[in-house]
Order: sequence, then C-alpha cells, then structure tokens
Amino acid sequence: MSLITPKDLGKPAAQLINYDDLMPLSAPYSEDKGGGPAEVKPEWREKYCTSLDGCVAIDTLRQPQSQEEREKLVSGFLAGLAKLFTDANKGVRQPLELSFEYCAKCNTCSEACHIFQATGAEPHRPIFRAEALRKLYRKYCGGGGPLLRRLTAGDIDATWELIARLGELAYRCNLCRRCAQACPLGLDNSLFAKEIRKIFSSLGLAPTPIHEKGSVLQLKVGSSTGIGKAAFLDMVEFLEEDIGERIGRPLKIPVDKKNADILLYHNAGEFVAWPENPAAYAILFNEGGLDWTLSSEAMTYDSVNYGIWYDDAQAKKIALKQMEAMKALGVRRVVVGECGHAHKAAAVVADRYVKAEERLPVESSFPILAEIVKSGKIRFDPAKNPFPVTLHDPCNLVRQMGISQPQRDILRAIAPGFREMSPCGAHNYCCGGGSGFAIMNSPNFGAFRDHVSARMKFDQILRAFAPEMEDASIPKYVCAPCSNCKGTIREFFKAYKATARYNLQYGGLVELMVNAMSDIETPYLEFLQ
Amino acid sequence: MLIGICAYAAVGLFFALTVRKFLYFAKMPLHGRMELYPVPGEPGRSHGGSYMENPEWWRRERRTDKAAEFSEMLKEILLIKRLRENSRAIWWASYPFHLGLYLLAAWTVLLVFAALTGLTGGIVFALTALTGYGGFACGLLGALLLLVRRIADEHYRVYTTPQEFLNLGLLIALLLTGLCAWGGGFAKAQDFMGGVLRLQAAAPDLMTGVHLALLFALFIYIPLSKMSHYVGKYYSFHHFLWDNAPNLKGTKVAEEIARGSK
Repeated sequence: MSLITPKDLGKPAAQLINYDDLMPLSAPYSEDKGGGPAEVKPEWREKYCTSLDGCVAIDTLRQPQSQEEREKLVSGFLAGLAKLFTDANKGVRQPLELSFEYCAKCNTCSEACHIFQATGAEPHRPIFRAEALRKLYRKYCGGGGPLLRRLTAGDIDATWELIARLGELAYRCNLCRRCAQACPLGLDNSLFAKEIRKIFSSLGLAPTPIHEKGSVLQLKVGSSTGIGKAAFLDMVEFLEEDIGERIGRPLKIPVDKKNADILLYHNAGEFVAWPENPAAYAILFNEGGLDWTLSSEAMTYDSVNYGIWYDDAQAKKIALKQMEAMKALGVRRVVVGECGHAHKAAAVVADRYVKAEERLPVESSFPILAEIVKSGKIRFDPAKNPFPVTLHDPCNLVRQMGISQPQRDILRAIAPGFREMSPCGAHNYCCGGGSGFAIMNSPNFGAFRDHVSARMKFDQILRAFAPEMEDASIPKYVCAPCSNCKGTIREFFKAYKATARYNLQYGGLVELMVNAMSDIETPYLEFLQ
Repeated sequence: MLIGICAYAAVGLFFALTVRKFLYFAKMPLHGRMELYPVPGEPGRSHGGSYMENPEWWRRERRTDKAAEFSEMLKEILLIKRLRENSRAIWWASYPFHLGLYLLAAWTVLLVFAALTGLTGGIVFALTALTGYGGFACGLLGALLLLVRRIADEHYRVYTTPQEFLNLGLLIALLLTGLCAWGGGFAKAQDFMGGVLRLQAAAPDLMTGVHLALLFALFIYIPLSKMSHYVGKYYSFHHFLWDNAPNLKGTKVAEEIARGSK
C-alpha cells in the first residue's frame, strides 16, 4: 500500500485509514490485533465525515448538501487559518509560530506518540497534520509567488473533503504533548491539532459532548453535568447518608461554609459517576483537621473547563466566571480534587488571564494529602491494601504541571503492592481519553478511544501486572487520580471485559487511602466488600 | 578589497539578521503557560516535579536553578541530547553534521588568531588541522547522511519540502567547495583570512571564488530560513517549555500582564 501523504487528505476515498493491524497487546490479550475498530453504518457515511478512519468525532460536521455549503467550510477554514499568526491569537502565537517555522521533520515525535505507535498509520504521525496545515497556509495565506509556494511545498488544494478530514484528524490527537517532550527543537506538534479544533469551533463545529453538552451547558447552568444547585445539595445529602452507613459513622460534608480556608473543587462528574471519590475526600479532609468547604454556587461545584481542548475563547469565558464566583465565596485558597484537566485549566491555563491580585491561589490536593499521610494525623494500615497497585499519571497533572511525587509518597505509605508502570511519571503515556475523548462516544468514537488511543495505556497496565495478570482471584488496582482518565479506563476495561475476566479494577487515590484507614472496619473499595 | 568588504558585509548581515530574528520573537505578546516537565530549572526535582508539589506553593520563596538550565541547554547544543535519547538513528547523521559546524567555527577562530598574531606553527597548526579537517569531514558526512535519509526513506521524503532539500544541498556544496578550496594544508586559508582582515585579500581562484560566494550567500540566507533554529531553540526551550513562572504579585510576569491588560 502506498504511503498516505498530507495531500491525500483531499483524495476521493471511502476511508483513508483502516485499523486492521494494531500494535500487539501483552498477555493475556496477545491475540488481539484490533480489527476495526468502529462499525460504520451506511447512514453515517451519508451524514458525517467518516472518510478518514470511519470514526466520527465532530458530529456537528455534516456532509454538504450544496456547493455553497462546501465553499462555506473551505473559506471559513482558510479565514481562520490566516488569523492564527496574528496577535488575535496572542495566547499561543509565539509557540505556534516557532513550531510552524522550525520543525526539522526528524520524526522523533512519532516515536513518542501513543496513537502512532498503536496504529502505525501515517496520518497519526504528529507532523502529518502540522505539515498539512503548513501546506495550506503557504498556498492560501503565505503570500509570495508561485516559485516560493513551490519551494515551500504550498501545494495542497483546499477542498471540503480535505478540510473535513483535517478537522477529524485534529480529534485523533489526545493533546498529551508527549511528542513535544521528545522534540529536539522543543516544538509542539499538538498545538496544530488544537488550532485546527479552534478554527472549526469558530465555525460552529465542535463535538456535541464537549461543546453543546459541555461548555455551553456549564455556562448556562453552572455545571457540564447539567446539575443545578438544588440537585447538587441533594446529592451531597445522599452522599453523607450513604457513605456514613458504609463507614459506620456520620459523615458531614461542609457546603457553603463562610470564610473557610479551602474551597475543595471537584469535577462534578465525580458526584454522578464515582460518588465514593468526593466522599473519600470529605473523610480525609475532615479527619485531617482541614478547614474546608464545598460550594453550591454555580461554576464553583464543577471544576471542569472543556474549553481548553478546543476553543480558547470558551476556556477563558469559563475560567473567568469560575474565578469570579470563587472570589465571592470568601475562601482563602482553591484546592483541586482528582481531575487532571481541571488542575491545568484552573492553575496553569488561567494563571495569566487576569492580574495576579484578581484571582485566588489555586493548588492541587495531592501535596495536601501527602502532608496528611506524613503528619500521622490519620492512621493508615497498608496491610488493608494487600493487592497489586499501579499508578497512572494524568498528563495534565504530571507532564504539564510537574505534580508527580506526592501521589507516589502516598502510595508507598499505603499500598505495599505498588509498582510503577513503564514508562512513568512525566514520561508516562496518556490514558487515551485526553482532550475530550473520554466523554465522546457517539456515534462510534468510543471504539476509537477504547481500541486505538487507549491501546498503549492498556498494554502498560497489562505489563505492570504481568506476574498476577491471569490470576483472577487477585484484584489488580489501577490508581488513576483523574476523572477523565478513570472514565477512559472504565470504558476500555469494559470493552476488553478486563474486570470480569481478570479482576482488573480502577479508581482514584483517595479511595485507596480511605480503604487503608485503620479505624474504618468495612473495606471502602467496593470490589473488596 | 572587494572580497574583504563582501566578507565583512556578509558576517555583519548574519549577525544583524540574527538579532532581528531574536527581536521578532521577543516582541511577541506574552503567551499562556504551556510548560512541560521535566523543567531543568526546578531545583531538586529531576524526577520531573515542580514547585506545585508543595502545599501552598505561592507562600514559599520560588527558587530556580539557572546552572541546571544552562547545563541542560549546553547538553542540547553540544550533544543534541534529546535527539540522541529519542531518535538515535537520526542522531548519527545530525550529530556529526552539527559537530562539523562547531569544529569549523573553531577553525575560523583559529584562522583569525593566526592572521592577527602571525603564530601558525606548533599547537596552532595542530589545532587548525584538527578542527579544519575534522570539521569538513564530520560536516560533510553528516549532511550527506541526512540527505540520503531524506531521499531514501519515504517517511522523511514526503515531508521534506524542495526548500529543505535545497538547504541541505547548499550546505553540502559549501562544505565540498570549502574542502577543495582550503584543504591543501590550510596555509592558504590563513593567508586569505589575513588578507580579508586587512581588506587586502588577493583575487581567489575559481573554486575558492565559488566557495566564498556560497559562504557569503549562506551567511545572509541562514538567519532568514529555518536554519536559524539556533534562535528558535532558545525561545522554544526557555520561553515555552521551561517557562513555568507563576503570575504572582511583584513578579515580572505579573508586571507584564498588568501592562498588557491596560
């Protein structure tokens, strides 16, 4: 088969990429070759852009019904492209221009990319979409005559098919930035994926789960889960009763406490999908003697900011509203729970949005939890966690914030079976659900995530537990201290029936901590009950 | 005299255009934080950690290790460390090429030294021969290997633009003509350098003339092309991947943000 080149993105073909020979997995899944991954119904081919790899990420991008619609996408995209290297894009202009100008095309980034490694498919090389964008820019926005365009390979035609596939391709990168870590010139090819997403978003084209059901909903009701204040308060009350019964003593969760030291800032999805996580925080913060509170005000009980994955304007809008609401609470500091992208959005991305004095300090909960363990304020019995444990490093938290050691200090103190996966820490691989993939399922994107983008993570997990893997009597716990990562792991464990067959379990860090607390008799982790 | 003037003009333009490039990036607006760990300036956190591993990190004095940052950059410049660690096959081509350029820079300094002092024998002779022959040989070998890889391997070829092939071709031509022009013992190069410095360089033979024309053209072209990645690399590491300075009251970042938001 001939090599797919950036020019081929415009080629008429039902499907450019097939995933029928994926990276082999370790035992006991060594027979799995992928083979798919997604079923593509004929009606989807008529409705969406399925011609990249059969999967659909941008469900708002529909097949054009007229020449006018074709031209609208092309001209809109090119207009957005022309704005990339102006001060209108100041938050990213310098790194973007460096990456655009100086890439040496050495392909070092390909070796670092888990999606390229999993598929070997040319369009998944990090430089592929960057090069397609360069060609378009040089042909349509770069100026200069035909000779310069020829010299700089500005030789790609902007057609509907090409732009649509490029848009889909921007959602085949987890924005984990592992490629940038390896680049000898310090450049970041993931920026191009993000910028393509931004241009599409400016045209009203973004995946529904992250835009309409994400950012828009959050700005409207205060949370991307759609939970309003009354429902949130109900959930907290239910949590107090339920968890109180489970641990055998009353649990009080402070909400809207005036002038508290700490506002604990959760991904609201935790209350819906993994309520044991915020409950575990409540137990640990209460027993650790911290002066803390949750807030029931809109924008302060949901830390997510999906804007950082696809649209800087949305990200800033959400972050500013969150900041404003948090300041009004009168707390001294904001502490982020187990959500990687919320960590980065609140502590790093938003850091330069406003003047220093206009925002509250934001920090991670992990250093505080490590201090609790170190201080001896809570007694832990590591023997209560006798099973093998490995640690996933959420990219936003570890590679992009440098918070790596506290989690490890905690695990070494409470989990004797802790072992690192390989590679680990700042060099660990993405879970495969980064940048929105964790919540994108419809119509068939979940299959790409579960079988392709998460493949490397699944293999790392299989390797970390190799000695006990096939013994289903031993639970094997993947500690994933991030909502999106947990969501992804849940889904691919389901796809591979890994829990049912091999007793692979997953969860956060705080649940494991509470499970090890000496004075709680009943196991906190459900799979031990 | 004309050659001397051309040489001074080419070198002058090289530095002027390089400074212009630095200023171009320096004048760009402050971007959002996009650091990537490990950040070498984080003292005691070689595991890839940051100041944010401390509770209430903003209340602690922030320390940065400039020596560690400098040492990391030096490893990157002199050994092309990341390429060596992440893509060894390409490093075997890229490293000799860059080493060749560094040796030729040292060779040029030695030629200037010999021209200014008249000292050409002993250690100066040995070092001139070592850096000169070593530089041309390594540079040529590396550039040829890079070119062969880009032509022979389709995963490289499809991403390489005609301009990038041209850049490699120009460098190979420069090194080849240089070896032919000066390679007979370097006395000619020392004499020529003396002539250039005094603006009294004799008219060159054809090969030397071609080499000089290429050399002067490249001095002007390099800062205008992507071969100026010595500028880009400074910004991409120091101002992008390693810039984790928080926006705290009284810091330079806070001042810049306050200025920008007015």
